[in-house]
Amino acid sequence: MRQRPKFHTILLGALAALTPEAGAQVRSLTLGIQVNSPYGISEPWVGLREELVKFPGIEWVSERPATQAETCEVRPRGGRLLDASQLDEFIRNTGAGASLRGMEATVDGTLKKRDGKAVIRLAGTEEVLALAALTQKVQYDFGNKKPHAPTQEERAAYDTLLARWGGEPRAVRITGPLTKAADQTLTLQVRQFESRAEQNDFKRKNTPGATAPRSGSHAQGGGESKGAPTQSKQ
Amino acid sequence: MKANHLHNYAASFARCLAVPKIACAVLLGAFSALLTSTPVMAQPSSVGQWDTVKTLPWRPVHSVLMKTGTIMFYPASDDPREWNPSGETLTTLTKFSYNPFCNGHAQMPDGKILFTGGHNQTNNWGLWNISLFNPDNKTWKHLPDMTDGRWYPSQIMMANGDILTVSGTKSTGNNNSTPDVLQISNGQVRRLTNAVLSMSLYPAMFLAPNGQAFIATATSRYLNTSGGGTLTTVANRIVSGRDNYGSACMYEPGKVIYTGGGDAPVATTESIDLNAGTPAWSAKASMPQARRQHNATILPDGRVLVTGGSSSSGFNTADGSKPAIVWNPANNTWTTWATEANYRGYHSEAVLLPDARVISVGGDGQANYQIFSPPYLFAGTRPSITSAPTNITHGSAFTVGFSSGPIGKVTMLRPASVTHTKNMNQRYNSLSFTVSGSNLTVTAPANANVCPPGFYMLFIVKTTGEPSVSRWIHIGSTSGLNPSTPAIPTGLTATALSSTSVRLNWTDASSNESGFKIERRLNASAKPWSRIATVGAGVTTYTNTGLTAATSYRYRIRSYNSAGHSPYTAEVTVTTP
Repeated sequence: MRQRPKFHTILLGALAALTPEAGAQVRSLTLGIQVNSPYGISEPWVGLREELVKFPGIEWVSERPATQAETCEVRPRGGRLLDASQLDEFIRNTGAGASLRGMEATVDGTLKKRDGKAVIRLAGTEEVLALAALTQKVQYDFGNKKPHAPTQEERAAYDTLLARWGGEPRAVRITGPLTKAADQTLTLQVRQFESRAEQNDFKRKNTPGATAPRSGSHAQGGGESKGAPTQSKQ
Repeated sequence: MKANHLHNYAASFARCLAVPKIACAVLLGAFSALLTSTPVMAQPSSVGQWDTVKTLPWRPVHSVLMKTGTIMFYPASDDPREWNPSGETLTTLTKFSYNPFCNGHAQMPDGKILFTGGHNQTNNWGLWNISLFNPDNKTWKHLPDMTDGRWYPSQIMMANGDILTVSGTKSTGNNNSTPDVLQISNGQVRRLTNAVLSMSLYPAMFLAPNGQAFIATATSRYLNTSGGGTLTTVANRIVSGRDNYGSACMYEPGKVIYTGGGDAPVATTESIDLNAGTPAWSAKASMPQARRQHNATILPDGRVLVTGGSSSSGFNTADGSKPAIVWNPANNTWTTWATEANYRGYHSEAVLLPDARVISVGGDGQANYQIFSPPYLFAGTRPSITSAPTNITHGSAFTVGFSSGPIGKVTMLRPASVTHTKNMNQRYNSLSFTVSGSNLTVTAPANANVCPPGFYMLFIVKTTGEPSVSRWIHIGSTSGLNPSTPAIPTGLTATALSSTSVRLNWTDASSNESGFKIERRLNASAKPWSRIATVGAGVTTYTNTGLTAATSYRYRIRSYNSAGHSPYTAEVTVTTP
């Protein structure tokens, strides 16, 4: 009788170990890579990727970059956020003539209020990210040397999220650029979101006729990631 | 003028004027100040000498030295020219019939030059073409296509004459990760489907003494080209970023040095000895300055000359002209020689000439070249090869007549084939020899792994360092490809039949074609070619349907058979109503 709970504990632990994504708060990161090459991210990519996989916080890097967005997808080890400054320094030191232009995260967590403002508490942790409206996308138009312009839906995603949120803690998945303030506070700009608990209802209410579960646009760029844990985001 | 001579002159001048000692001191001080602010002119015998800068109609992006002793130059478009160092003349060559910009190139055993890939209308997108140039009669043959395009590929010739091509980007982007082998036995392409790997663009690659290709990327590997191919990790480089426009060469069989590279560039170098039981990269002496987009050229005496490049971060950063520097593998030291007149960075090349000079050419914004005469050309009387065979076999002894010894080295250098800091053909062999009067009995390299078949420049080098003018010598198999490709179709026209269809008509000018291949692209800049259809032998019309109204299209066709293709026809343009 005394061994059963222990067995369950072991079993649950084993299951957790086998499904590390289940509790992962950061599903994936989209790295905006700025390169010196006149040909964009394609030229230094193979060498850069070979180095990126060595970064301590990264456990997976997409085989190919998204050339129309000058980005690549990575999966952080343990579902943790990466330190952008450290990653930028690492990329600059690879010799690939590249730097980190920005980082977009797709995170799972709980939408709640703190000091009257909406924040997301990352699943399985006490880490909290402030939320804000999208100002600039990480995805970049190399030919025209400027970030992709947000769609109207993306611009409105933060306001839409707040408008449709009743104020009660709610499980959500949010995708958007991460920014760091001078006081080191991290803010997640909302480009896309989906309600985790009421996904179907949410889809019906917010994107009539759409099949995508997220609010926000999927229209920009052309993802090329292969074997990614989640779809490439543009 | 030597500094001490000026001092003496000033002192004598002052004595002649019988001025007080203090005045002499002032005068000497003035001369000394003048001397310290005026650089002492170094002698060509110690730093070499750059010739005057000569102009070209464009900046060559590719430079290929051929067995004729002439160089094929071509720019970022289909405009190849042949440059003859004798008289420094330039002759227009027949075009490829497509844009070869950023392709790969290397010599075949019979001295023909094989070219793979090209530019599919936009950067990052490669062409699938393989072409063969005969330097003797200046004609082209077009071989069977690769499965997909390659832009920025590297290629080398293997010991049996096969050409291995790796990397590059496909016809619509993305790394072409499946190596191709153009087999000399039948002129057909074999894909190495068991050796699929995304590699850096224009990776440094060399035929290793074990007969495998050594790919000197950050994770360095052997590629065994047998069957479907096998990749084996050899060692990790110390500096991973060198693939980004560093320059490497195999300065002795199995010994590779990789110089500079990276963005930001580094001054460091490292080498690997593939003859070792467990090869590993080890640091060598650093260059006097960081460089990227430079060129490493093996000299007849076995030293490695580095010319051009940028010391700054960024792409093609014109931060001034650079001194030629030379690395001596015997004592692992770099020596600085004379400085070139112009900055030569991205899209520059350097080629060892048969007379032991080096031409440094091109670079963005540099439609010109400059020839460098290393110090060894000013050291003393050069030796001369008075007789030498034109063909030798591996491991055999052969006789070389000479004058003006004593001779310290006999070397064979495979001619350069350079683009984007990568020389896909140059190799160096130092041969053992004995002396008997005015003859050398020389032992040819042991096998085709250390000295693959083809044409080489044979040099003799005096014990005091002066090299001869080279003689062209051929070693090993003379196998080559001479495919019976069909003639180019003529009279291609395109007529819009409707808003969605276009009819092509042409004249069949061949009697041995298997059919015709049709390519189309949107008639706008940076729109790539697609292979849209193949029709049978004798067919002279094709209707292309499913088009978009009010759109301008371009077409070109070529005939084909099992041996390869004709050149492309001229392109025709049609706009749907």
